[in-house]
Amino acid sequence: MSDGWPPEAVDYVQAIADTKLMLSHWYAEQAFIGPNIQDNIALFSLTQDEYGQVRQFFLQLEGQGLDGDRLRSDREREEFHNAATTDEPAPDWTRFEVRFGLTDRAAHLMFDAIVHDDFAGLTEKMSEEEYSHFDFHDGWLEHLADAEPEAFRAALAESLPDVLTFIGPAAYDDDTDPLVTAGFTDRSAAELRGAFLDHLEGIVEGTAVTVPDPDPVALEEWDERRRRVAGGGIGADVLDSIRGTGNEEFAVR
Amino acid sequence: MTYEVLARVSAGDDLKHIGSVEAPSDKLARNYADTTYDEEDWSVMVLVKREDLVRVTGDVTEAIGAGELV
Repeated sequence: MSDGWPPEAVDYVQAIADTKLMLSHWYAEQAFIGPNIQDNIALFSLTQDEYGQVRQFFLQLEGQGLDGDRLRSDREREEFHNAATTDEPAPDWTRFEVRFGLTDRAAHLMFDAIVHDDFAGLTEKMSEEEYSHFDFHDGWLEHLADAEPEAFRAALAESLPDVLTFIGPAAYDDDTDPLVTAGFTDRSAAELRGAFLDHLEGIVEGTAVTVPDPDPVALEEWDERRRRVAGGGIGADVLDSIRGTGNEEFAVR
Repeated sequence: MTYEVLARVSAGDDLKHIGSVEAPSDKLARNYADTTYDEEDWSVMVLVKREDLVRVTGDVTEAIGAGELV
C-alpha cells in the first residue's frame, strides 16, 4: 500500500520508536554492567544502532504530521509509548539481558512485519543491523538460561508479561488486528506473539528453564497507544537525561 | 573459551591473525570479534577456537606466553 497510515499505525510506529529510544538509553547508561569489556564495547555499538533507527522512525512519523521537536525532546513522561520493560534500568546482568534482550527481539519482529511502502528498504537495512543484536542477546540469553536457571526463570517471570503486552493482545488475529486489516503489517499480534514464544523456547531448549504460560492480554484492559495494561512510565531523571537537561547550557542553538 | 580472530581487508590479501576474544559460545564470540576489531572494513573475518589449533611446529603454549597469540 502507498496511501496514508491508519491512526493505529502511527501509534504502532511510535511505540516501536520510543521503545528503541529507551533501549538505546539503557544500552549506553548501563554499558558497564556487562561482565566483560567486550560486552561494554558491544553495548555501545548496539546503542548507536538503536538511536539511528529511532531517528528514521521519527522521520517517518514526521511525515505523518507529528511534530519532530516534540518527538525528540518536548514531551512529558506519560507521552512516551515505550514498552513497560524499558521504563527502568536493570538491577543486574541477567535481568538486563532478559528484560532488554527480549524487548529488542520483540521490537524487531514488530517492525519487520510492516509492509507499508514508506518502509520499503528501510526495515531491511534495520534488520541487517539487528543481526549483531541477535548474536549478542541470544548468545547471552542461552548462556544465562543454562548457567543461572533460577535467576533466569525469575527474570522471565518478571518481564515476559510486559514484553507480550508490548507485542499485542492474542485476540488480534489476521481477521481482527487493525494493522493487518489495513494492510500496514502482514503479521497479526497473535502471529508475532507465537513467533516470539517459539524463539524463546529455542533459547531455553536443553536448559532447566521452561517458558511460563503466556498471558493473552485482555483486549479491554490494553492501552493501544502505549501498548501496556498498567500505567507507569519512565522516571523524571530518565526524561532529563533524554532531553539533555543537565547540559542545556552547552547545546548549540 | 578463547577464539583466535583472523581477517583480511581485501580479496587476495593474506588472512592475518589480528587478536583473540574470550566468549562462552560461538554467537557471543562472533559479536565480540565484530565489535572489538572494527578498525577496518574487513572483507573476511573468521574465528578458530584456540583448542582446535593443530600444532605443526613450535609450542602453542609458549607462543601464547610470548604474546604471539593474544
